[in-house]
Amino acid sequence: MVGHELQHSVEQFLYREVRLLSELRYEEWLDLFTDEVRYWMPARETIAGQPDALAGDSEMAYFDDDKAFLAARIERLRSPLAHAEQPPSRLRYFVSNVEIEEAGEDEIDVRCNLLVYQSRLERTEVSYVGRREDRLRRAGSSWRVTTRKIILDQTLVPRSISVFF
Amino acid sequence: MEQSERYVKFEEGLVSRKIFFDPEIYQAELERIFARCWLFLGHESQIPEPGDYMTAYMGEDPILVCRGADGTVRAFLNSCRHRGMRVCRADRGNARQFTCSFHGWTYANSGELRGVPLGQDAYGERLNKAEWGLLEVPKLTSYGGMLFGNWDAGAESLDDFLGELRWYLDVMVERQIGGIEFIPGVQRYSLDANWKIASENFAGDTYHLPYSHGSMFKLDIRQINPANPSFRGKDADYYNIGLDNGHGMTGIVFGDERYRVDLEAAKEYGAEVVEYVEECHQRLIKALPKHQAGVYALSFSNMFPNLSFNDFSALRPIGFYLWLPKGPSRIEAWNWCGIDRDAPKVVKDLARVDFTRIQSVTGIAAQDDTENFEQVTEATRGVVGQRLDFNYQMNVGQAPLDGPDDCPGRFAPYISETNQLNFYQHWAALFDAP
Repeated sequence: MVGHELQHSVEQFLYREVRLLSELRYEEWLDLFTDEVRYWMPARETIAGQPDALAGDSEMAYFDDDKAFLAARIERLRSPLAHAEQPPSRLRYFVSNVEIEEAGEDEIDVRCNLLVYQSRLERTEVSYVGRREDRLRRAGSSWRVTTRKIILDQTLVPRSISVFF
Repeated sequence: MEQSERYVKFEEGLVSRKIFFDPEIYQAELERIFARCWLFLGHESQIPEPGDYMTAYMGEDPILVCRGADGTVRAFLNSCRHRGMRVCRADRGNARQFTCSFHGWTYANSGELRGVPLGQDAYGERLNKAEWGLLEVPKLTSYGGMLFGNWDAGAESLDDFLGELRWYLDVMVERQIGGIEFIPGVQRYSLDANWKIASENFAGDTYHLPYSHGSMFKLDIRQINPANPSFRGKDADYYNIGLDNGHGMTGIVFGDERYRVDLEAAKEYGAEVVEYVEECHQRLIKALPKHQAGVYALSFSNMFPNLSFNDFSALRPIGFYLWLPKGPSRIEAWNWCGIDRDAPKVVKDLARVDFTRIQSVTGIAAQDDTENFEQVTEATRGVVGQRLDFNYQMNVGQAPLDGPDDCPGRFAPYISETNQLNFYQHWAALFDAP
């Protein structure tokens, strides 16, 4: 069990992070990641007897990005020809069930649940539901994400993904 | 007048918008195209061991693909013969038998009905179990490990169905040192569009690249090859090639051009990767005639009706994109990543990560395609919109180009729409078939 202060600090960090995403402040969002970040969303399947049948490290993923490619995605989204987000979607992020574990002197492991709602154009509506497993590194009075594993509950993704998690 | 002539006006380069929306046309397609063509089921590397199984779809019919104890791969309608329940509800696994969760009928992985609860007591002698096995897909053929099934027992062979496409596919298959394997796992996503919108895009739509994917081509990333022909207009040395049976390929270039680009790129990753690219090339030279080996890789393509794939380079993934029909205006896309089983780890890792970035569910190309495909659906569904045609007139009246000697297909410029018309001409022929 971690102290209230740490819990509060991490929750505030996560809330601020998803607010940056919902406000499409992608460059500021990217600054919250360390340079060596692995941003990874493994694929998942329905397999008998395996409640959490996630693809392994060298198997299928939806995202497997480093910081440079995240930056490229953001650069693309800033183009008027990034049709998937032109005009921009309305995005709402919900983070809950934040659990923290110490992982060495300057690092912590943080699990949370995530619900992302995307409303687009007239009637496109998509929800992504899942959880995240992050490793955060202390950076002064705040944090930086050094690994992010995103695990969707859906095995059929409701639409091609043009948002971040 | 054949029924399809109202929809596909080949000489004029026009295709009715109705064929992308009309529920009756869609239902006829399921019968005349999806129940008669060879359809992609997956790859043998996904079910390597006896007892391995995976689920798939042919048209809207759920399929169970099993490797039996004897090593033979069979495919079945994934539906209990008693009350129709899905007998296998997992995506993949290993099982000797499947027990229906409704009343407990049990089938061997070879399809035979083995057990019926209360059999003799309930049915007496009335149930002949030999007649009530899972319905087997009558034709199943593997080529390069790729599994294809056909519901039509009288259909032509897979080889005949592939026709001219086989000549090009051989390039992709023979280049692999250890053969193609699929990395474990699949991506699936929905999009609100007709399956043909996606299929025709891969069959020939090079014209959409500079504008649909303009945001991607501006990026400084390794997938964006400076030699990419997209911005070179009607460049003579890259071809779109229309093939028999509605198949289409884009961006074919002869004379080792793609090999030279790969070799240059390989240097960035060290001697092992350079050697690998050279070995791939050597394999091709040994296995195939010189002009065929010189194709080296295939750009993007569609195998009629709904299997799209891309193969730009030995350093990039072989992407498989299956556009499953789920109603007139709904696709479920299943994506797999193929790699050379014996590629060095550094190449496998490059290809695997690369796969996620461009045409995958999160890919910076697929996102913009989805937006366009879905809004085509939205903007053309009204009664007035439905009266109009789509325009494919870019090359109408032009003679095919002279391609290199002894290379199959009808050659068109890199920016052209003849492959799409070739796709719809074949669609029309199947639509009219009795």
